Amino acid sequence: MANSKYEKLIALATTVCIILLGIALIVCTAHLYFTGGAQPYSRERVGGYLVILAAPLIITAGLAVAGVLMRIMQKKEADGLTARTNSELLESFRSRFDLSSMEGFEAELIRKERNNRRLFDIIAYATSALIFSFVLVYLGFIAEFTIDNLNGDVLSAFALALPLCAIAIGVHIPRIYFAEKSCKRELEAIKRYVKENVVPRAEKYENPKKKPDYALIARYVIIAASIVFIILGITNGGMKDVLAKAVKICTECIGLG
Amino acid sequence: MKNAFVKIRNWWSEHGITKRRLIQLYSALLFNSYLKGYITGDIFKGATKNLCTPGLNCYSCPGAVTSCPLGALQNSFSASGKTAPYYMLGIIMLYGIIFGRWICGWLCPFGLLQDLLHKIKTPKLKKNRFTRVLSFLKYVILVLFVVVIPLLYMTKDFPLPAFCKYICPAGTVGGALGLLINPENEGMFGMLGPLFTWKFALAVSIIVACVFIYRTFCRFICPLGALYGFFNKFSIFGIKLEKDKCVNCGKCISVCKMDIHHVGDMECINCGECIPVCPTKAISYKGAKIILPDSEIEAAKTDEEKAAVEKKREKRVKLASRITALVLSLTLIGSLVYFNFIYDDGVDVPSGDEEEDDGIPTGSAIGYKCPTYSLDLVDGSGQINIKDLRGKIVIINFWGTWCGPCKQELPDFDQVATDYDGEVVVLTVHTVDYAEEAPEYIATNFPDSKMLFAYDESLTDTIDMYFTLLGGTSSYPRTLVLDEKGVIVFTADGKVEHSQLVDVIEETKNK
Repeated sequence: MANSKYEKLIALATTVCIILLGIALIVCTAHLYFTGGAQPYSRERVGGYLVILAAPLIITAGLAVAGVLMRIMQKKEADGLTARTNSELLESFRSRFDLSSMEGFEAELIRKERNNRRLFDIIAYATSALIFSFVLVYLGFIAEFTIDNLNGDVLSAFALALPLCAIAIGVHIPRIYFAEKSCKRELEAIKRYVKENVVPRAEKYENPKKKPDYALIARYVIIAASIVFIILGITNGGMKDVLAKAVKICTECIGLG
Repeated sequence: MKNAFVKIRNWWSEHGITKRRLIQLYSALLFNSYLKGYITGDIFKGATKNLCTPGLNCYSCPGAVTSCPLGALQNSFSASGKTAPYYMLGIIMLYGIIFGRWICGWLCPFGLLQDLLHKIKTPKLKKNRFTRVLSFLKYVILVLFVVVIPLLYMTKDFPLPAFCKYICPAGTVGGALGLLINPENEGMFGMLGPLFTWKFALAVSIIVACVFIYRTFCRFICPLGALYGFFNKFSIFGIKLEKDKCVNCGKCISVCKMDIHHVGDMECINCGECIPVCPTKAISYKGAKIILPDSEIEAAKTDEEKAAVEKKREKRVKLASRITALVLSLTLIGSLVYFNFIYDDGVDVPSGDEEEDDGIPTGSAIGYKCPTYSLDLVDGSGQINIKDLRGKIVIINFWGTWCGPCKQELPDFDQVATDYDGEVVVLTVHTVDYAEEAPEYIATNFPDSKMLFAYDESLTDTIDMYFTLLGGTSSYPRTLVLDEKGVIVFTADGKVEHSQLVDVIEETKNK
């Protein structure tokens, strides 16, 4: 954490330099590509742009190194705690008290908040599931995927698929926002109740040792399955395929065509 | 003297490198031990590439001595029409069940890069409700880019590792930049185009984001972390929370920079930073039973017995640490020495047929006479030699059915062979790998082609003869154009466009 004037200055300067350098790199790459004609990249052209960016690169690197050295010279400490969410606070508070026999206005309020949260959860998860299912069906059966226009087909398929996926994830933002507000109201209700009534403490958690340890069983099953799969893979040539690919440069994987 | 030593030791314990950082640096160096690759500009081709790194480490990186599990998984899905992907599924399951996301926190080289970038002194964006929602993006990327697209294109017999091709920054940073900075790879600049522009812009964006947002790639994009996350709860290594000691104070969640809901869940990278902040010592590393069984700890009743058990535990931990450190150090030193000084790919550069006495030296570069060699034709009708094709312009293309860009450009070569029939001969040479697939592929896609199809020969298990003779290193496809006298006038690594071929042919004709 920056606490002296010089540290704050370095932090600010580093921030500005890194952001500007990042933008400059992207702009230069785009400029190289769009003004380069049939073969936009060559060692000479790239070298020319690197010469232009040399000074900002060196300054940014210098600031970054200075900041890291400052950090090393300071005592190791935690980066600071993030604030807890209302749902975490609620769970923590509920775990301390036995609220099973709660009744009255607050109990009714809590029941109402929980039901509303549950409803929002169902709507949000159902909407996400529906959208994701549609995306999979679209990609599997409807979208055009050819080899001649490989990148174009993949891009146009995902021009539809990715925004839909963003919506499917984005529906959870209002759900979480509502859930946080609801948890805050519930927490306030519980605190009011605890303040006005005698509420027993929650019983300490006791490890149910007699129950089978499902995690251990799952572990053994997965280990056994993985060893069987590996042996099957070695016998059916799968391991040889991994080697065959790995000893050749995957030019498309590293952006080289 | 003793005071100075104590002062240094105290300073080191307050400011020095942590054990976790040391292990991260160690694993990054171990999995990229082939430092010679940065000098030669080529990738490692040895048998250790049968194995996979647990974390993200592109196998096209010059230093990599093992395969990337994510790239190999996508390739396995792409080839799943012919070979069931048991091997890679087994590897992922084994790594997952042993380590879970402990790999992300301790072993992944790209994770180390992100941790180091986050150390740069700038204001940081802390986790919040939005980042929690955004952390689901990596599961979407896992399903779409790692599973769905490779399988969809598998049905079209076209290998497409979509995550590696369109998203992965490790390939761009480690692979592309690692190869391009070497002067030996000047020819690779001709392969850069829109894909590189997109990937470089994406890699720069992710790297800049990592400075301000903790482990941007791990939290929001990495499908490998998403996969390992499913195993986190059951893995042998990792973090565990003892519920009977936990008082739900939430300090562990507050101090954690990942988007966890509780310690040890799918988002937890098992870094252990929550362990010292827990007031009731409810959090610990799994696997403690290996050092001292629970029964021995529970048997201690009095304070003296507990102290004795604790002393015994500390002694065992110290001994285990020393043995582990010794073994690991020897492994790293052994790797560095073996891969850089002892390993020999066993390639004697072949010389081809006897040189003709016409004053033009034989070689694989432009201006040299192309070495000649007899290759078996795919249709079984005999052999072909470049010498037999003198008097015509010859295009030699090295390709493979396993190679997406190779398959993409073949129709262009077929078109050229048809358009310039009689003046130009197109000779395609298939790699030794997957040679058995070539006849069916050619019969299906190029039944009446004017192109000639031949097989390369094997120099070693992983290196092809004529490809190496004609200057090929590790990247496919590779194209050479020879004039009527057999002199090389054009070479290219990577996909060649139809217009490029036409330009070269016209220029050669008019020479």
